[in-house]
Amino acid sequence: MFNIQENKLENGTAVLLDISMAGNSAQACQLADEFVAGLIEVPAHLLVDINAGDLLLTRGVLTKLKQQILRAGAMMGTMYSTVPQTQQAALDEGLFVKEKLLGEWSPMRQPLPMSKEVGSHSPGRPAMSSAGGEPARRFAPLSSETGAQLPDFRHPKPMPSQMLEPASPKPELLQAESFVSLDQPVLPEHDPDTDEPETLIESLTYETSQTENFSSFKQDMGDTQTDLAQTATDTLYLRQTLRSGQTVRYKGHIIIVGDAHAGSEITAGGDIVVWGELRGIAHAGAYGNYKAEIRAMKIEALQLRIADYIARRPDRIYYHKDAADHLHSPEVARVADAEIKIFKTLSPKG
Amino acid sequence: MSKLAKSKNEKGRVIVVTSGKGGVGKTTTTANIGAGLARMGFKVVLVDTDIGLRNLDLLMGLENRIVYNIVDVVEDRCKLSQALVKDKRMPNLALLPAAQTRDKSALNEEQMKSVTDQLKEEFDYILVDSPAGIEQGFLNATAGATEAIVVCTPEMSSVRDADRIIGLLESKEEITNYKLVINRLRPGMVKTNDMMDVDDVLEILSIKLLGVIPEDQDIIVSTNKGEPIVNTDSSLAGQAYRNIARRVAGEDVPFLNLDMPSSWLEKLKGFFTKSA
Repeated sequence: MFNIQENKLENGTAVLLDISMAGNSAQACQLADEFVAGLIEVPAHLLVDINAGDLLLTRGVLTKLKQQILRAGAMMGTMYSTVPQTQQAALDEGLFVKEKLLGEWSPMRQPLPMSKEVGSHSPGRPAMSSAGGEPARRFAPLSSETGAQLPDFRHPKPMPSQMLEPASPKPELLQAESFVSLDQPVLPEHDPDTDEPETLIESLTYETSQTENFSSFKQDMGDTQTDLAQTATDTLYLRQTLRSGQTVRYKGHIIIVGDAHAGSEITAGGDIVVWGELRGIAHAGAYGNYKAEIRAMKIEALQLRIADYIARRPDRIYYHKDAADHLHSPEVARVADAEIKIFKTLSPKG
Repeated sequence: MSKLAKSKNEKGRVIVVTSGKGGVGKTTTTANIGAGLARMGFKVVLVDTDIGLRNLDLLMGLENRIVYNIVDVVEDRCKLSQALVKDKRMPNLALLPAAQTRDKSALNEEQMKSVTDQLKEEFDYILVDSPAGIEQGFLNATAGATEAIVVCTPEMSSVRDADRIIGLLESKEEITNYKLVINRLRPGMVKTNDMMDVDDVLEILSIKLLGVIPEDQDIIVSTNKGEPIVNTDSSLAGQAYRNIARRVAGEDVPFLNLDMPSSWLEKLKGFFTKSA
């Protein structure tokens, strides 16, 4: 049998469906079936969280589970799982994922639809309208899969936390034991007096946001317990051009001698250095190191990610060569003032 | 036949024509480079691997001569020589047609490789027309090839797909040489900055250029007639394809000036600036 916990929220009822004691995915589906069949009267906006425990569930099973719950007229809440494969499948399915149920269950409170129009948002995402008489700010959805939201670049300051993560606590992963401790500096502190002269060039052209599905990046990188001292020294050196569709993942630093074309992806536990133009997606400090940096001769990246920060390039046509292209000097992107900012490392001559 | 033709023990070159994106002119390029090489006296065979959506036969005007196709060959219903369709204009040009009633899974990479290996013995050039996409059809088309011609148009989507394809070609050890053909360039639009120019594309893709084909209405006419445009001497696109064929054969041909003066006034201007 399955366990059910009920939690009355201000904005509706949430239910935790515990299927962790099911022996396999077929039994899990059956439990969900029983649960749905047992629902006599579904309260409005019923939120169903699922605890899958250490069950290994494929994406197909999750799709089925989600459909069963949606068919019953309820909304899918958070998926709790301790199995990386299940977590990944749930992420692929567009669900909120947490590593495990820590202590007492407190359902993730997503703002419920205020009206029909707003109700069209998928349940896995924070609603975009703001409360009160303030005008709603425009968000640029980053991707329907990650559910991350980006603030409009006209509001470059980090959004108030209740805007970015409506009524939900900071992702628990940040406090999890396996997470890299941020107290110990891994890389030498950046000292503007002794380092090369730098000028901030375009912090505003990249729109920054923190992602909520940070766990997916960490899982992608495999072992989250990787020794920090090791990641700080291990370096992957590649002498090639990365083309569209090609990806490089490494637990330490990555150096690429060549260009990284649009459509390529670089993910590193440490820093990323591209001795050429960076036009693809670069994710430095993938284990959560906010001090990681991305350096390139020219940063024209589609997206820059450092730890759980994401910044994207503004929408514009870019293929025409800039007359001042030859004046470009090496650039570095790092997290500063809760934003990803790009600095020129040398002032251009002429 | 010709003094250019290969000696007995020399094997032919297998060149795959591919693009990633559909509709950029892979088939037109295959037909015209093939016909161009055949005009120069080489023995050429065109292989259509776009099973289920064959077009190369239409472009060559050979649709009604097809009896057997490449799937019949690999499934042993006929000999390879029986499936080859001889071109009606040039005796040294042949076509190995695709099956229209099957799909890409009717062929696999080993079968394709054995077909190209057999063709290598007889022909100087084996041009393989690849279907769009990066799935089985693409894998089949590149299976026996040692060289590749990547076709793209000066559009972002096409260039991005070409980049992906080049990445896949680079990861294949057998393919040692790949070059780019930029198709459907409109010099007028480039001038007004409405289209990427050749340098823009080359900078993004960082690959060697084989040739540039201007947008030309005559291509549509030639496709409908089933007559490759290389055989039309007056056409600029035909000239561009003839030059590409010569470059494939190893000749050093300067790139065409596509920015042709359109009116007599501009021609006159050009005359004066040249003499000045």
